[in-house]
Amino acid sequence: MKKKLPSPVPPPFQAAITNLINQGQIQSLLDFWIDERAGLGLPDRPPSAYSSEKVVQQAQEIIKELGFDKRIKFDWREKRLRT
Amino acid sequence: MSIQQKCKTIMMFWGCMIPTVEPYVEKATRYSLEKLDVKIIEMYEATCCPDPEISRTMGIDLWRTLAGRNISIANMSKNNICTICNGCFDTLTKVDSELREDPRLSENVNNVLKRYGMEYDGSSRIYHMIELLHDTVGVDKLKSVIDRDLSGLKCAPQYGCRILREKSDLKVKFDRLITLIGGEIIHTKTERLCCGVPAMYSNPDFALHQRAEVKLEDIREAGADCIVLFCPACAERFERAEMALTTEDNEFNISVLNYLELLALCLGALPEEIGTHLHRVPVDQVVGRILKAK
Repeated sequence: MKKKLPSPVPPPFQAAITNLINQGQIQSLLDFWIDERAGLGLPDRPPSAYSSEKVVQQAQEIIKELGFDKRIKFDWREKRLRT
Repeated sequence: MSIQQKCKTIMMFWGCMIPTVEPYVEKATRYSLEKLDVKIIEMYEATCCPDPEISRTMGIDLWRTLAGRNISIANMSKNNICTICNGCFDTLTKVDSELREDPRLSENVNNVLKRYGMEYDGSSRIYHMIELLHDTVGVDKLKSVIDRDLSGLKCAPQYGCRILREKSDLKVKFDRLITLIGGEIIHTKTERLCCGVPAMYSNPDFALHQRAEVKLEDIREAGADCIVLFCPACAERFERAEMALTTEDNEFNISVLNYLELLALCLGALPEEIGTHLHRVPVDQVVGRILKAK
């Protein structure tokens, strides 16, 4: 029987790496802060990958081109690391 | 456009932490730069810098390519970059330096970027906000526009390890910026110690007790009214640590303020306008003292 190998990404890094691949940023933007940003008169989503699907897609293409997704066993369908 | 006009236009690299968990710093920055006649150009196409701990460790080629891509946005629009976050500053300056010095690395990055019509050419300068305020805006301009000052508020600066490690003149300039708006600098024995953020991923107990707690106790003992910093990661670490460490018998209640919040208040901002109420550890007492000052 094949032994299941652990993810090459150490557990404390997994959330950040998953965010980087899915959102182009390691830090998630929570609804609470979206509201607070608007309350301060700031754009509700920051002017960066947080507000541009095109930028996220470009980052994902670069991730694939460099083979990073394969090295860390990222499951694109499930949008998470395989463990 | 004259050189002087050009200097007063900057492409802001906000990073991830300030917009998502410390938007009050973004608001205070926008307020302050407008008052100082510095025009912000947004970097709409930016991704994560990416961070110098996790991303660099897990994939140095991806880290370098995404950072090169971010820098290329400024290169192509002929702008300089400014960042407040010490982590973003670390990544962007390190990658910029690597790509300038090693043509093989810049060629690798550009081979990826050219598919998107982008190119890294090393033509932009990357400023830390300390440099933008101290050197580009200038101490004379700052002095001349502040409406109120800190009136001797005892400020314990948290420089952040990357500033101390990479560019020692940033420490001197940071100190000068504090005294310029009337703060009294409280030096502590542990001011060169890391806040603990990088250690959090491998050993959270060590990060909390051997780094944040040691520093917070030292700062409290030194009699500081507040911690002043630029780095949003250090700020979040201190505030979360204070919440985690506070017990009935041992209360940590040290206000943690970004320099840009203090500057905005000195330039006439109202606390509610820049969202000081959103801090995890209340800053009301310190803000109240600043508002009473002339």
